[in-house]
Amino acid sequence: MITLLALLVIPYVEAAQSGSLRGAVTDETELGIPGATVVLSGPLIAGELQATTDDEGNFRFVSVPVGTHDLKVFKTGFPGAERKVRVKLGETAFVGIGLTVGTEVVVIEETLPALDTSRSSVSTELSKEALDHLPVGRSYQDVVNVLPGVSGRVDTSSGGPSDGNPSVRGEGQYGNNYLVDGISTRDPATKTFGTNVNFDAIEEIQVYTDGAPAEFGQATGMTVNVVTKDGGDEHFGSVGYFLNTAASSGTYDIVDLATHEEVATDKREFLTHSLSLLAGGPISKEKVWYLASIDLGADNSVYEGQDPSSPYSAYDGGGFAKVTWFATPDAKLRYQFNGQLTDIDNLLTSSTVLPEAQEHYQSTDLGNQVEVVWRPGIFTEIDLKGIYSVSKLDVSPMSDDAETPQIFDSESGQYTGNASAFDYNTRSRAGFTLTGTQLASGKTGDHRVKAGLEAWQLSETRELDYTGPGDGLIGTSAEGYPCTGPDYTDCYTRQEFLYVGPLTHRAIVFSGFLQDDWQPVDVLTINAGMRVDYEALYTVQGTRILDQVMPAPRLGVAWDATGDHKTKVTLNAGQYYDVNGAAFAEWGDSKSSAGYDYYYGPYSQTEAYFSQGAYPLVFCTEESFATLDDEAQSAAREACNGELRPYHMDKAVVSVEREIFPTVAVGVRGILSQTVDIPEDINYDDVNWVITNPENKRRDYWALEFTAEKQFDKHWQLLASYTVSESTGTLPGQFESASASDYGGNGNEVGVWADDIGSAETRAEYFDAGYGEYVAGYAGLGSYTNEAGYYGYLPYHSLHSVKVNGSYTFTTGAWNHTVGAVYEFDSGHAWQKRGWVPNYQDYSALPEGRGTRFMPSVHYVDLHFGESFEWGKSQSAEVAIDIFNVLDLSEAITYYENDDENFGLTLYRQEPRSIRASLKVNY
Amino acid sequence: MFLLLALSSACNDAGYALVSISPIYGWVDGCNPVTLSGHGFSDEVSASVGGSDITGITYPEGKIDKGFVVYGTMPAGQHGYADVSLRSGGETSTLTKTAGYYYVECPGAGTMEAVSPAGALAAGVLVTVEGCGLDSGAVAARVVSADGLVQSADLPLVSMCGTATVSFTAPAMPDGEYYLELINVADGAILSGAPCPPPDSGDTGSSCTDQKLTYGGAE
Repeated sequence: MITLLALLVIPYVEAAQSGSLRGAVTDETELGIPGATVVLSGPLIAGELQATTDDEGNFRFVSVPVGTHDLKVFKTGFPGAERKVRVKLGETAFVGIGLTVGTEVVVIEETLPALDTSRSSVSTELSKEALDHLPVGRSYQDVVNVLPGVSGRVDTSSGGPSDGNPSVRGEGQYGNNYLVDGISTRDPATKTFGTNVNFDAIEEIQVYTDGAPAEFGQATGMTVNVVTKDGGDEHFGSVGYFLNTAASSGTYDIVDLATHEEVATDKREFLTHSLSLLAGGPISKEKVWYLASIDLGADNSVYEGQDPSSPYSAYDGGGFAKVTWFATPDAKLRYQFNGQLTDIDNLLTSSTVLPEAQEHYQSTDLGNQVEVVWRPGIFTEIDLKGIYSVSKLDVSPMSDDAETPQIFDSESGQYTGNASAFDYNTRSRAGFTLTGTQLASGKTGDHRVKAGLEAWQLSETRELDYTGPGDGLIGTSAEGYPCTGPDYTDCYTRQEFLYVGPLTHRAIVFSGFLQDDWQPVDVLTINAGMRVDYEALYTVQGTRILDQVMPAPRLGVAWDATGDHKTKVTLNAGQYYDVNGAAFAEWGDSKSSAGYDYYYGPYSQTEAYFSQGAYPLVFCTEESFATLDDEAQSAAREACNGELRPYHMDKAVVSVEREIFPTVAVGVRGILSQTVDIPEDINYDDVNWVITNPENKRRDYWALEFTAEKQFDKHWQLLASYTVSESTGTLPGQFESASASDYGGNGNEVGVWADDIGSAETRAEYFDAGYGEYVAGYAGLGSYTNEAGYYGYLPYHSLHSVKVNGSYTFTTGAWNHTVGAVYEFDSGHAWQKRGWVPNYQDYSALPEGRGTRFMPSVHYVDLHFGESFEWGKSQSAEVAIDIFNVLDLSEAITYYENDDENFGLTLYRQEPRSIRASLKVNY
Repeated sequence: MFLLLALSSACNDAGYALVSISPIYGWVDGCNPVTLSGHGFSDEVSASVGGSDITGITYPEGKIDKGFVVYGTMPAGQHGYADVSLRSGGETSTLTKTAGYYYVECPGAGTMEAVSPAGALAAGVLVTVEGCGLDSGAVAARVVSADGLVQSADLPLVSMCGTATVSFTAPAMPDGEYYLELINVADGAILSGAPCPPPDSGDTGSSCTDQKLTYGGAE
């Protein structure tokens, strides 16, 4: 047991993100050597870090910058020892150093243990250096697909290839939190990733898929922490050029919506150019560091079936800059800026959209971060981070025509007229986190206590401006309104937008956490934590309509079963809440006089069901009830399943891992989770709705996972996994945040549950009054009594998943030759038939139940070949070829789900083979 | 243990369940076609509603729907909800209450929903009438011109499926447009078939159905 923590002789300040290092210095009889001096230095450390071993020869560094450092050990009467050590984010690496009397300085190869035996969570650190040896996309969103439990190859929300928002452990595409340098950048409204980060500016990506400690919250899926490079005391930089192009010609069969057949269709053609510039180093050594990065890209594509006269054409640019000032040896100040711009012509790549109906897309993400780190004592650290980020999105018709309505040709199934809408959308995130870390040691063992406070404002301001005649009134088929012709044949679906904004909805979040990594004995660490989030949602008028407290305890045990840091047995259990965000406030605000709403109706058949205006929708909260009169309040309370509760996930993980060779570990883990209290809107008296917690609405997940990992070194790396899992539930995502307008959603948008026409008696009245069409589609949509319909496999479920990622590098003279490969197999995602719901005028029912069908199994094979030449101290040039989908496989990944003539036909296939050629010079 | 569990469940089997019936409502007279959906259906299934068999079970031809869908014809039933059961592979799955089927009371004797064929009629053509309350012993058909000046004799109806589907043989009539009227045999009262009034502008709620018949030429 480490009974006395090492003294830090020279105070230091950590980099933005850090890990820990501990170790033991022993003699040839493996007895600890007290009083040895341990020095950690390198270009990523301002100055150097020193510690002295305790009575048992142990030492410990509380926080060390992520990266590779030089560690030296000195002790009178013994030879010195030197070695390289790599510190990973959030991990406590253990180093054992043996000194033998009578020898010269011992230079030890970098052979760190593969296991962090003090951590019970499932976390993977992907270093940028290791990722450069693998055939993966150049974005942090893409590279996480190499991890077990991450389902990101297919866009399970809209169908087709990935959109950069994977589902993790069955929690859907909206369940992940994305941090940059330790602070959340997640989109405050859509709850997807909030910003890109220039890939060459990334040092390491840490991903918690299970059991994240209490300092991480507001996610039920994974937590991704992107750690950017820091300047350092030595100048460095790179210039890279990347060219991507299709490498597969010809056709494959996908659905033709007009002829209802799979027809030979030209594969996607594309050509993208990217330029990446990076520079970093000291402005003043050990005082001020800088890092700057610029990415520029252009993408010109013609997607399958897209009209080649209006190709998808995108330009993007990213700027990243960071300045770190070491004000004193005990304090530093960091400021960083991240800006991303994207401009796209002809955004809609579907064959159903003709050029005159195309849209223009422009987005701007601007983020500012400030961090102050202060170390008042050698075992204490205080870290204050702040962020203000704004994302602006403008979508408008390519024609810039705000008058001509969109025209949908029901014969051909194509959009032949103007695009439908202008959408101006601004989302902002402002917040800070204050974290304190304290090391303590005593009779009960060692403690690493971390406590923190957070405050956030998440807001979305949205303005929708629909083209067409009238105030927010558009036609989608035929001509004329109101119905004037005989037999009502010219009637058409009406969408009446009562309010179009701009509308601002806000969420305010306060959080606190306390966690203790307690090591009562050397071989046992207890990770205990408690996190509490409080969230309040505000309407357009600023009225608070919801506030919730979310207490989330976490407890984990990590046992070094063999006492040599080579066997780890863990048990981790915890509760995880996600915040609701601004979009949730918008959902519950449709009764607001400033809200917007729409309704449909088959007017040629019956009277409009929602006869006038916005339908009342309230949260099951006192604040929301207060907006109703007494009678309405009483009815709403009766319809609610108690006070609206925040949804949360309970998860348990058990694992055993063993280092079988130096730096090589194998393991097995079992994972079980259940997410409950998911909110839903329920109609309770034909007109009025409440957002409540239906009792049976939930998600379930279990997995058994086998892993093998060889840590990255200068020769090779391996990250392999086999996962057998089931992901089931009533709703794929958090709630109905996505539109229900497309036809390939794999069911993600078929999540409405418990929408119903009131009681059995009310439904009976509708049948008897001849309005049966309105409730017809509810069969299979999921009702109070029809569990078979709504509960089933979720769209990202596939029973078997195999992932093998590896690279091998060998050296001849100054040349390094690298071969990398990624193989992924999944046994087929779940899908289902989507039935027509007259009341929604949409295919959103589940006539056969959720997730009853399965896509074919899919293989992905990608390869990387790299040649690098080194010269001078740290100069190198790299040439690399990455081939994605080497075998040019074209298995179906999305079938057409709507129950019409196209049902079951292939909508999307695997992306055709493509090649990325890159040239990069580093200094 | 874990491995055994994993391997034992290593097949994509969503199990067996009846999930929905479509349409979910119809006249108490029955005889309407329905689609029963779910998953894991075997090649031999039987189905019932409210304790009465759903008849004429057929299976989809295409492989896409095989095992997920069967078709049948509803029996007559009592007004209100009825449980729907499907038996497949020795298991029975049931939709109950609001997830089941709703029998709607027929609004009155001689209610017409569809007439076929309605055009290019000639004497001797068999005309089928679908609806409810079509009691062949109590209801007769009559072909009437739009101005009411020309009309056929009362035509006896023959039941093709209970009181939901009946037929009659088209009488000889001069070429032109007519309407089909259903007559109460007992007192000669017109039960249905008068021309509907023209809709008002914006009227979206009319349920009036008039059954035109055209003699001579193609429609």
